[in-house]
Amino acid sequence: MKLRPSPSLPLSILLSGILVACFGLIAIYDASVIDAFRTFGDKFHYIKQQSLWLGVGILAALITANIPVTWIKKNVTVIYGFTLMLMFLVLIPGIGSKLLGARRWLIFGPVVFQPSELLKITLAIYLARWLETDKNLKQFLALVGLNILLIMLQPDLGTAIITIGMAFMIYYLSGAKLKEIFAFCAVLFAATAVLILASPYRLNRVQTFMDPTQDPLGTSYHINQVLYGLGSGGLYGVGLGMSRQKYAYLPEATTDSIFVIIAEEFGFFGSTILVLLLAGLLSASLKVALAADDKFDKLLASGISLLFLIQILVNLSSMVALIPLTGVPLPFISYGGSSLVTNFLALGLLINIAKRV
Amino acid sequence: MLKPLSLTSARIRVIALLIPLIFLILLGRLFYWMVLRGPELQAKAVRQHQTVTILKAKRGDILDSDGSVLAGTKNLYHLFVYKPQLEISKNDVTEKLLKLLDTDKEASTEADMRAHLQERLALDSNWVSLKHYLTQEEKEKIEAEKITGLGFEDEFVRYYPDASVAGQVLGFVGQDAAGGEQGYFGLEGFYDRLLKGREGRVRTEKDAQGNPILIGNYQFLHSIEGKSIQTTLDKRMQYLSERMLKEGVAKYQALSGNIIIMESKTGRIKAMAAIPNYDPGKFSEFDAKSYKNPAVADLFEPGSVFKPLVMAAGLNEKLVTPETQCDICAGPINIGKYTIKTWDEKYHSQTSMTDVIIHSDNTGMVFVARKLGPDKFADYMQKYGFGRKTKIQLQEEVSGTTRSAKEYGDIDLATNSFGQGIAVTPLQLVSAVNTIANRGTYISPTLVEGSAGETRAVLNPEAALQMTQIMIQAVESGEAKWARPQGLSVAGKTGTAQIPIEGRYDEKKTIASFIGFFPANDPQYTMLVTLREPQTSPWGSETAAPLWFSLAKQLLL
Repeated sequence: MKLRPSPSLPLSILLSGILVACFGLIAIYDASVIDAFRTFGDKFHYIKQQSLWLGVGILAALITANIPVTWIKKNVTVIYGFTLMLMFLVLIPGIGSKLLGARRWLIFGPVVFQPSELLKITLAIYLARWLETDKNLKQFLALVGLNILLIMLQPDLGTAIITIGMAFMIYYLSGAKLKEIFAFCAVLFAATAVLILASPYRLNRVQTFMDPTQDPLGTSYHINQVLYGLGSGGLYGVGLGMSRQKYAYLPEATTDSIFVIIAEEFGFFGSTILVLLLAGLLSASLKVALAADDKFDKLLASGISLLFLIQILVNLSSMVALIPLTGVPLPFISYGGSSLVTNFLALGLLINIAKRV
Repeated sequence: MLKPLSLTSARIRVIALLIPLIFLILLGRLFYWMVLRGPELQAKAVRQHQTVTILKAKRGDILDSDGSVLAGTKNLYHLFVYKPQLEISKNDVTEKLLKLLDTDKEASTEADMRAHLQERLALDSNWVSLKHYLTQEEKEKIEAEKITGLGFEDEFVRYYPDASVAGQVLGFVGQDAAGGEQGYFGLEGFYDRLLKGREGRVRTEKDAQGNPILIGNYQFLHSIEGKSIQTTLDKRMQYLSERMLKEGVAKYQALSGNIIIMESKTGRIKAMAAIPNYDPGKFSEFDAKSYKNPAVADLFEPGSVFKPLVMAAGLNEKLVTPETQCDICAGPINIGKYTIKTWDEKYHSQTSMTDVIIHSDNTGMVFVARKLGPDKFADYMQKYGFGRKTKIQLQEEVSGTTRSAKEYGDIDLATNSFGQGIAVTPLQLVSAVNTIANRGTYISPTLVEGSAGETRAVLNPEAALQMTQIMIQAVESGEAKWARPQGLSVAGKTGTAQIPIEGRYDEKKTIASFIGFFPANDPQYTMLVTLREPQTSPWGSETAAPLWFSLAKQLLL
């Protein structure tokens, strides 16, 4: 038996992506208006930027939705190789820009670009192609290890977690033996422990997670401000534009913590609507994966779905203190061009697959 | 084994099934923070957003009976800077202010002041306090410079124009545990809430850098000035009492002393002086022991000045008349292991009640007390107001204790009759003796105009008049020779109470006192003078009495 999704599925995926992104635009305007005015003298600065990227993203989605999959399949090594090259370039001082202690950005004139965002999606394409045929665990670990190494050299733990999670899930879906899955989990667990213990600030975050009341002005400041925002929202929220936490209290209010501003202003009901919208987008993506009858299509569609799923889960779980605070943007919502454009690019690929099932 | 593609589909289905579960957990956790823990987290958030600015309320004045200020409030100014509005450099601000500000105790040289200003301006917040307590002139000079970013807010400072005058009646204004203004002792303590008024509040919301939030809530509550209090004190009498007491304490080499002058017919306190005293404006420079007003906070054994009260009770009950003869006064009286003697160990058989007071005869008082018996004795102690507060408007007043009738043994009754074994405050004593001056009606003392003391009939007018006559004779032919003012009739009584130390009386340590009222036939003032441990002579007749009379003379001038 084969699932036949409704013919409107491709369009509804695109529209729900745009809808969520518009939700994001409002939230970004709201969260950034003070900072935008102070820093740039233009309270629309951030929303102008993000709208521009949204336009670029939709354009990218339309392109990737319409290029032949065979072309992608044929050039997958080139695409992935190009991304790896960018990942190398970003590490070179003078080419990659260092901000807040991390070397993550490439600057081309007015465009600031984060190659690791692109890597997530090109790696998904590459893995879908590569895992069409059986691969053993060692080969898989070597490939993932290279990517993680490049990401952690920046360093960027959030992206690393997402990349590992996505790669592992694609490997699992490709038909890996359960024994290998358990082995991978063990390696992952050990690696995570080493990464946490190796860095004092990550250890702090874990300790803060265990006890958010310790040091409220220091290490647990961020999570406390997140929770103050959620608590202030209550059932109905304080109303559009009425957030107090955005007044420089909440760190990363327009990026990683944007969900808090939404929750504070729209309350539990409003934020539930957003969460359900994201859940709807995810289930639509998985429907595409289920319906695809080619292994590459199936793996790519599920890889993209999982990319969205993991980012959403890591971000929201951090915000509700289910996991230690991890700096990951909320897909389609958080401020940031690289993330928004690559997410739409992925959405385009998903539509591309959906059109043919 | 499954075909690879269907295996993939099956595994995707597992994930698809997990999604609702995972999102349910997320939403549950969200509900927990936003709704269940919401109120608590919101309160914490509000606490970090809100700032409350206190608008100080001007403290009410304390005035004397003529409306002249005893304790006033100066309006001074607090200089602050709001850095974002500053248009000139911090250095320029410092240099400009240096020329305009007067140096004070904390920054006594220009260099100190410069260091202080530089330190304050270097602080990391937007709003910085620069200097407290600027005068009106300093404020005007700085305002004339038109430096944007500088601002002033009102500050009120208590001041006492006559320094230590009536210090122990006034009390002082210090800080409470939270740093707020708080009156301590005396009128400042008693009327603190009334004088304080109500502070105003401006409640605003600020961002993490301390700048106001435009959309923030704004609440404004006006401050309400404190009420002023007009006291019954007469500044001239107060000043005179203090000056003469100070001289007296020095002359008789006493440790301390106090004077109370009460208006006989109204209970209004016209003067209440004590040495050592303190200046409420500089209270911290004085020994804390001097803060409490000894007239209401110190208990002492009154000694012979107490005798008129017991005698008046006997007369009132018609148990004795001024002519009644004492039949137990021929020699010392033995009660158990105690022996009651007279002060000069001279005994007058069949002495009259008038002579008992004139000679201050302890045995004669035992005679009266035995006639009264424990029930009536205890009853009169109570009616005279001993053992409870007079309700004078002073925070530190104590009540002392009296015995109930059942607690009166023979020896207690005997010693109490001449003012030993009972602890009273000077004010209780004055108020009690004033009952005789006021023709038998007790009036509770008051320090505030318009607040009439409560009254009660204790003695009938005849008994009070009889007692007055005896006290007039006691002054005219008493044990001491003093300079009684010409043409002034005084009813009074001396007292020399030994100070009990660890249950025994020390012969050399006495409280010398004189209590009386004048003019005797139409009393205007009832007045008590006590001196603690005078060294020139232990006797009230040779120390407190002359002081009393010279003060009375001055008051009549």
